[in-house]
Amino acid sequence: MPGESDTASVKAEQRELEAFLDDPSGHQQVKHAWRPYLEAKLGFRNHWYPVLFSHDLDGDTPKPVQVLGERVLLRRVDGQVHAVEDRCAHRRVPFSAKLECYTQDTVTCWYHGFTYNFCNGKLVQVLTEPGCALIGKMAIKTYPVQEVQGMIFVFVGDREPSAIQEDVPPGLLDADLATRGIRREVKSNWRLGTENGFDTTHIYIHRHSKLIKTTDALLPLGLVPTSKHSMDIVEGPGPKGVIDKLANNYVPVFDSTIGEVTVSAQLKPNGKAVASSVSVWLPCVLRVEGFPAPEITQFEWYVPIDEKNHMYWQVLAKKINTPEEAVAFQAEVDSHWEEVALRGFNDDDVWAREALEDAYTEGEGWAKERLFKPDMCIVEWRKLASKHNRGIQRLT
Amino acid sequence: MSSESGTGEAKPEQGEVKAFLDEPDKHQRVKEGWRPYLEAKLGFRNHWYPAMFAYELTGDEPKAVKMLGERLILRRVDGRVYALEDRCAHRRVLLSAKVECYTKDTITCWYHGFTYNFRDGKLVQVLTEPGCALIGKLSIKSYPVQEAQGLVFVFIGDIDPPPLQDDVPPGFLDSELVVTGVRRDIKGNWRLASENGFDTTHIYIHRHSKVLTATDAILPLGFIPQDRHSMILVEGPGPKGVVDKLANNYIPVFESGINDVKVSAAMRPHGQVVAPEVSSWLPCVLKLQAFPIPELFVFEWYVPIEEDTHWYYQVLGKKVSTDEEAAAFRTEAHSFWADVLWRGFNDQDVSAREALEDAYTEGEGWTKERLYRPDMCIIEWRKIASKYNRGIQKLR
Repeated sequence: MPGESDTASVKAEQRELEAFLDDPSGHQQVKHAWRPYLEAKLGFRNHWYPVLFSHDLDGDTPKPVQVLGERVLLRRVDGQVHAVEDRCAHRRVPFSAKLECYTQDTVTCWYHGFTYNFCNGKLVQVLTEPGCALIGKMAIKTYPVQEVQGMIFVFVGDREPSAIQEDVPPGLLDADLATRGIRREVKSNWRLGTENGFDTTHIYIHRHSKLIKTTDALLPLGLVPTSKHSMDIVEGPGPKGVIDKLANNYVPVFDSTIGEVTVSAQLKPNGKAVASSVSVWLPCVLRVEGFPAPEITQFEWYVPIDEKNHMYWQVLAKKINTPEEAVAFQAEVDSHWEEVALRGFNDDDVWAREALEDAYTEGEGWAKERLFKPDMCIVEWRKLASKHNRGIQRLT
Repeated sequence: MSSESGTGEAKPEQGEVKAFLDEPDKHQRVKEGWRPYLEAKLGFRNHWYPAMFAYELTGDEPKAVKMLGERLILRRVDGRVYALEDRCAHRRVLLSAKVECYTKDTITCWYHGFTYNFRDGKLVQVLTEPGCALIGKLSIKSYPVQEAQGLVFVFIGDIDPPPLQDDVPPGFLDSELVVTGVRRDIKGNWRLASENGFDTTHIYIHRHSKVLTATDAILPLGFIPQDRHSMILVEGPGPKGVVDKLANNYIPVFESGINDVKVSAAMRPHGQVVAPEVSSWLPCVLKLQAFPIPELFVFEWYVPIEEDTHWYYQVLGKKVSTDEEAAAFRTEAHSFWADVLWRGFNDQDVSAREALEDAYTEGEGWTKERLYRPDMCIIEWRKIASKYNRGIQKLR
């Protein structure tokens, strides 16, 4: 938490950052602090990522996914989910090109019949050369898997996996939480997804959204930090992230003018301020408290698929006391919030991220961007991610 | 204004070109004479280019265009056209992705409300952080603009712009000339388009075209230069280009044979040979005198969009004395010539350029081409362009 580490060097760094945001042209060297983040086009290695909803693996049919540029095949064996590399060791073709499973715990390559145990990845048979000398000697990579809150997480990396609690926002694993959500592919790098979500002035794009028009939610044009302490930097133990307490440490902007023209946020008599706090966590997950309604929390993951695409997870969560309340909440998400919030509001974000993808490739945004003071939270996120990630994902 | 360049010093070089054309394999080093042209995949920097027709900016609705690899947005403010870089300085997104103009002389970025003055590109307001420290300090690039003959010209470059007269064909700005036309984006590098238009034997592809059946025009199969002085090199002051006096210095070929088979140009009793003069000018514009009928002029620009596409400007001009004549000419152009010339005739050029694009990329034309004697004019154009361009356009 902030405060304790206010040494002279941290203060100097903070001053430099503020000077940078006021007059970026003279302070390019501050960018060195987030160099690892700039390299992480494919995300950070040695972290837990959600890859499927539990209901995506109903029976025992395997399902392929691409995550951080890697191809992974998942399957439920005796109720438990296992994940293996989706490539035959022999000629590297994906099993998922044409799935063949002769038993409940094996997968057979469609090409030459190489057959692997789904739980440990070991080669157990080769249909075209029974008794092949490679049997027992060869294996494909397996991935650690955990199923929590209706989501299947995979650990992408080489190390001993850390506890999953360290890679999800605080509160997500609480037992009294009910969750429900959707996921979809978005055409942008994962970092642009994350930054758009955490950006406290991007909400300008939402001022005409369905959520604002049809509910009593109130949203300003932007939220400006009151000081350099507006963000809480959470450096563990446990999850690492940056928290913006929007309701306390930020000033909402409801009106602006250009010459004689006034531009205003939509105000309503009994409007309720939403999004009391927004935070971003390693490896790539956002938490918005009190959104889209005061009693709901929205979690969003931006899981890298490859350099140009990410899987956008939109999960709503609510504290409940009984199983009936959980069922009611899930029905409410399906019938109301999906249309009004997850689509009606977040479709604007998806559109903005796809525009950012052009801006940061053809437009050379990583080198040419000119940040302003409210982007301080983005800078803090880049620095934190650079400092606490467990490795840069690279494909060899 | 046009000066013959058959001076004493130029002669040995000319002889070398001729030898090159007769026996190209032995004379590769002549290509050194057009090395800058080979580099100019995205065109030449520091020149005036048409960006659109004036009629495309009638109201005050901004309009975006991509040229020489750069993104521009244009708008009419109090009758005058201004052009800005079409990217917000903050996060480099395209302003045109969703145009927001709250006042007649500003443009606001759809993402965070950064607002720029359209006349000079200066940041004048940030709607999400009113009074932002960057106001007055930050700006986006503003391009010099000049409207002439119904076209909006933009200067792409960094130097003080030279007069527009230096970058258009002689006569184009004459006050008694009225011009009108269309533009479309065409596949193919801009140089292939310039060369196809200037090539005196490419007219072979037009022998069955609509212009030849709908008018009295006669076109031979090709025009062959009489000698090495057939081309006039115009090296300024003023525009720089190469002029082919087809009617005087070239021999028309009307008939050829392959063994017993004759191939002939379409002849008719009262036909008239057209196009007495064709010329090619920096940065990328062609002029045809007395084409498709004696009282008309054709101007064609091939403005680079990206390396593999260009804007094809098809412009007709006519000398008139009254406004009524001008109006009648415009009607004639957009009804009759639009069909017969811009589509019927020039569509054959468009197909040829698209074929050339493959020939000069996959087919490696720039290194493997084998030119012949009538291509001497193309070589002179490449040399003039290499010598007098004001810079090579490069991104990054």
